[in-house]
Amino acid sequence: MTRKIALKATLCSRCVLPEAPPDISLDAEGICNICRNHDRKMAEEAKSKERGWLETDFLKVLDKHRGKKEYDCLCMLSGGKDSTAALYYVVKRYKLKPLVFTFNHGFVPDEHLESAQKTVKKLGVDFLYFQTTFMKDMFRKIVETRSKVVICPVCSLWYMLKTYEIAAMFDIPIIISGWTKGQTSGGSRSVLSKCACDQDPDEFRSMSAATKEFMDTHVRTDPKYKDFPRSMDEVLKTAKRKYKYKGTVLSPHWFVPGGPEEYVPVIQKELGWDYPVRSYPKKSTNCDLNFLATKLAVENYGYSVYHIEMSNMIRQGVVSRAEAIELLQMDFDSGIIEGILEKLEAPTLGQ
Amino acid sequence: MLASPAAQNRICNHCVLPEIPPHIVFGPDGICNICREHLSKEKTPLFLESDFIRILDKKRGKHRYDCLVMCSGGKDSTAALYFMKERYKMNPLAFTFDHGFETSNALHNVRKAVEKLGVDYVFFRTDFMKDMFKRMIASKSKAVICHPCSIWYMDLGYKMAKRFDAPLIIAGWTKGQSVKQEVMSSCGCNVHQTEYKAMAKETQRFLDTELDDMPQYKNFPRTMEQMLKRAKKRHKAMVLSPHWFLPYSPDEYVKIIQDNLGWEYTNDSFPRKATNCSLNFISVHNSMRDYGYTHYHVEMSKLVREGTLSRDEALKNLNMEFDDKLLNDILGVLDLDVAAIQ
Repeated sequence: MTRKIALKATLCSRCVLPEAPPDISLDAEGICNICRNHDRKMAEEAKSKERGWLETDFLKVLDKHRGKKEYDCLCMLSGGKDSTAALYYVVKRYKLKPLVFTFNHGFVPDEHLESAQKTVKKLGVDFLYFQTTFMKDMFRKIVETRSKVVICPVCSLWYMLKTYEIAAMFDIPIIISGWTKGQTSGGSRSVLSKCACDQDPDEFRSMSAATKEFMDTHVRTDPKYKDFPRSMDEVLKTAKRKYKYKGTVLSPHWFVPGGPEEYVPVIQKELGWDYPVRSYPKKSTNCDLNFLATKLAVENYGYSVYHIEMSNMIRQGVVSRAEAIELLQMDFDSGIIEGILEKLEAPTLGQ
Repeated sequence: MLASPAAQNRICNHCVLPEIPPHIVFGPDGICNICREHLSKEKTPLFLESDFIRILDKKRGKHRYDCLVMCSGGKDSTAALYFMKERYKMNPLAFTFDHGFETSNALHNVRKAVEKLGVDYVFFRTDFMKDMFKRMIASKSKAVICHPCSIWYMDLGYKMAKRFDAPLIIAGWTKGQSVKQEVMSSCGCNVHQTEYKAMAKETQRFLDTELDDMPQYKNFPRTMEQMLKRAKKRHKAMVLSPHWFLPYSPDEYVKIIQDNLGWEYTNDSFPRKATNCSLNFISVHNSMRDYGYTHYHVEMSKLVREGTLSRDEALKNLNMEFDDKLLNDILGVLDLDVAAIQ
């Protein structure tokens, strides 16, 4: 059965965020406060003398570390277009020796893993795959408690901490991600300390509050997760203090000119890469939990983290509004959600 | 009447102890380890399952993982993983390496096993060894490919155990691959025994003389002993195999992992019923060419002597014919063809 889940509220006429009080409101022109914030920030940045990071600055960091250790960088690879292209750039454009890292909390489709395997084989680079059921109980709790917490930000705390841990374990000075400009404010320094996703802005406010509440009531009280970080700041603190990790996370996408329209054909041709069949939003390579996370977020907030991300990309001109609306369509088979709940051993959602 | 907590458990056929893993565990004959060891005291005085359990007790719960289980996806290592989790109640990290010649079938077996058991799993793939393999074959060296490879992967095992904080390394070595206590200091395979002497000499010569122009192998250990000496300086881990102590025959544990983990035999492996990497075909082809027998003949002979394998079955498993196409496919990965192994 295919069930279409549509955003019911009016969308901002510039991006794809719906009117969702109290965080998101539309003005008389039908434009949301997030877009207005963006315009203001751009105007300020245009006036300011401080320029963002350039590729030359990025190269300087890479030069400093190249060839000093067994691996120059740890490349996070999901098998998706962005991280595959990032790895491709690392090897071909920047001539670094990477260790590629793919994690699986149990909900990564085989198709994505096969894509990652194919890429590392083609590039002849070392590859580390880590699989664990550690997060399963927490994911189940999110469903069981009917918490409004969004799965992905919680999961990103886990996998970023794991990534820092692996980088420290293997003594690797730089972490390379496939974060695009839409996922970050694009090469600005602030992003380096936030792990791509700045959860402070208005559109994340309600979600962040729910995350904090879930963490305090359900995670920290569970002995299994007593050391689980509550925020990205805590992840960074743990990486520094416990793992003694000094490196940072960087993405070539912040510096390499051109977007997916340029690098997708390259990795298709050079690495035999292709879009996965199973992922939300379309043309992404996100884990199965995303289907569930998106459905719940839309029910709870009226929009998902992908609406935020795509809106960012629209504002930066990386994707058109019409295309974003098409990619965000939630016309996936409801059997997928049922399959995930079964795997989580969680009750069905009901109405 | 008070129901004891053990009431639901089986009782040993020989004494009155119930089965309570990990300390009281039964064989397929329904006899507990304590009785079994008592009955066979004169026969196997070296190292008993109870001694093994004592070591596990000492390590359990003190580190990130209790042990690193080196798991190729073959029957022996998959069973080792199964028993470490289910029989000995350890928290293992399963570890698989791939130097580019592991079969997808084997890797699929590991994935199924770790998912069924719900244990953490790390997989590492690298092309690091490819140039060495190529040199060994192209130079027509009589070195046995598996020997330098085992030095490499044991080193890797130690490194992974250190990185992931595991105080024990568990291998799937069977009794045929080891001689109990001595084995702990030579990692599964004692290359100094008579049957290996000629092979070991050629391997040594290769490692000593053929790698000088390949800077990536500058620090490659020249012997298993050297590797172990270095590895132990970095990380004190014992290497053990549950197969030295388990009361199960291969037929019995294969059935267990088939039923519980969905494990399957691979078709494309030498010897028959093994799950070795595809480079094995080249390795055994060359060993037959150079010595007239392979290290699998040595291993299986030991199993025959220990009574875990019949001579007929060993002969059947070792008698395999493989064609040039298979050999060419494997050699193609190294940009070589069968002309290189004539």
